[in-house]
Amino acid sequence: MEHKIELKNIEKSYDNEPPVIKNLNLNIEEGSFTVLLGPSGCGKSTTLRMIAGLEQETKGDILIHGRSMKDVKPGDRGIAMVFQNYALYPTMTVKGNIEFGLKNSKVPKEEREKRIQEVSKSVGLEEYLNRKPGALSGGQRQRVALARAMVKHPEVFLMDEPLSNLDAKLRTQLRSDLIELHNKLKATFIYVTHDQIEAMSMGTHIVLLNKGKIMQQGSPWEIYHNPDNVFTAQFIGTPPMNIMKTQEINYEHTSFAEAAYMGFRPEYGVILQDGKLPEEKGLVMKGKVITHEMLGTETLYKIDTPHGRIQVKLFDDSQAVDGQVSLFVPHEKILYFDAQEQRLR
Amino acid sequence: MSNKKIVKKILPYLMIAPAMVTSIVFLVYPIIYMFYLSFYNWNMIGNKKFIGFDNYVSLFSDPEFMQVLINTCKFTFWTVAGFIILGLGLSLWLKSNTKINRFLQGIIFTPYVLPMVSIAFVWMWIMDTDLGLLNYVLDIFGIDKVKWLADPNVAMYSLIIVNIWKSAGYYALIFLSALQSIPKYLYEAAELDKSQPITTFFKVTLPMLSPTLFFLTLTAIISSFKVFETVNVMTDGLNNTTTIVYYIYQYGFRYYKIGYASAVGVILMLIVSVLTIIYFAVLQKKVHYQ
Repeated sequence: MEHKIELKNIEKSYDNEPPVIKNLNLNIEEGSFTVLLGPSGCGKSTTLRMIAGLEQETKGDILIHGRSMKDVKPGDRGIAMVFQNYALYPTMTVKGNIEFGLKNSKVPKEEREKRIQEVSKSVGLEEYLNRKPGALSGGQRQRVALARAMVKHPEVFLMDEPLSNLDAKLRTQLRSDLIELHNKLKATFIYVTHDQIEAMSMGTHIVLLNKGKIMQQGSPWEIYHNPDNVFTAQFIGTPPMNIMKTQEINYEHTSFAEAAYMGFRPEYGVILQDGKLPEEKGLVMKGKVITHEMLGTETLYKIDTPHGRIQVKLFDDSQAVDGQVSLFVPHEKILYFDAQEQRLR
Repeated sequence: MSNKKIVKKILPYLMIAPAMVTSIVFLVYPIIYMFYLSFYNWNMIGNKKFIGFDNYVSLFSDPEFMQVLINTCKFTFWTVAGFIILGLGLSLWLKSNTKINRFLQGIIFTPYVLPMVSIAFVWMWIMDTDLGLLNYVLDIFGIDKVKWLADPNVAMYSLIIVNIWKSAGYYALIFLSALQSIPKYLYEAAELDKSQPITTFFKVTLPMLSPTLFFLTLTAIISSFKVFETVNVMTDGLNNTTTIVYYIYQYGFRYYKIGYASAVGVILMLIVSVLTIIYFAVLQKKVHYQ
């Protein structure tokens, strides 16, 4: 598949300070829904803004369709961007906001009208075209921002945490709207977020960043089930993966002698009722239940063990367990990491 | 009613009394007294003589007063235009927050801090026909001497220049703070929307500045209509430079025609009020408030 966007040896620093992004190499596939994910300050927004041309890279090159974007203005890159705070022009009506880019691109009036009708219909804004953004709700403003991007028929959509200012319910709805939109438009989406649930639910490809470096990239499945390092294992998943120091645990079936850490996802832990050990191979720990939270389909247990606090998710939990318990983790669900926190395979 | 209740009722009035008394004594009373005096003939010493609307009749039949009105309008128009255009231009120029710009902001604001009278004296020297700096510079380029303050066709414009020079920095500073409060992301959105700088200025910047623009224009018009010091110091109202307030001063304190001067004062107040009302009615619709 052709690479839509390539970032080559990108470095970014501000005012002679140490670089926030160092030697970043990234390929973004045509038609993908790529999510740049990471904690705040990891450089994900900066990366997006460099692709948009709003920020100049200190070193390296950005290519769109194989063409270097050096000296190409943001408006000429074939991209559209949705900002976190929408960045609507408060003095223009909804229609004015959507139309502004088209007018600047000298799209004829008839064509403009047609496109505005089309796009406002598809995001459900027809009744609000003559209102100012100030008279709209957060969700409606977000739709205007989306419409403003869509109407330009860009090949690449850049989205900088576009859902973070919305309430939880609306966020869930817009999440599926965006997936639908991506399927319909077949354009390339690059989406920045710190919310791993957004990333997992929408992305076809996730790029996990930390301190300006790519920690891992791959499909949501890959990132969740096959983490490359402790950071990925703990950043992805709610609650995060349980990580323990290997030397504190006497686990006779250890697969790697050099392992410094071992971990397992909370949903693979089993609380042994009546203390009976299962027949399969696995890790057994003793601990004390600190809390249990009933979350609907699952119950989340926090258990203090000699190796630290462990979180376990139980799905079949008709009776809450308290006090001292034995905890079992199946052998094949345990992952190992070396002293540099890199995965051992 | 118990004592407590009475205190509770009276206390608020007591609290605002100082402000009320001050504004009645120094604002409301003088205005009413001005209206009252405008119907009298009085030289400040003898008895007041009621003459009805005679002051107004002679006012409007006096060609000098008409000229004064024209002068004031001319002064106001050019001064306000100068304040706004130069102020806005300077603020756009000094927008980026660099060291040199912060220094320049201080420089352009300095004239506003100085007393008008001192500035007027300095400019009188600069604009002196024979010894002035301006004519000296013109002379270098072989241009004939201009009678900056002595030529009836030029003098008013000289006063306008001095006034603009004094206050443009103040307007620039207010525009600057308004400019800097426009969120940066709007300009980024405009850039992504392929907007050219000139389009961005008229479609994004100017509408965002409209409340500031509205406020500054209104206050500039009112203050220009009331110009006095520059005229008094630099030209004494000669050479077609008499403005309304100077005219009032002349009639009140030189010719001691208090009634006549009061009538002009009433007219000035009406003009300013009407301008303010028109301005609010017409322009406020076009102002964008967040």
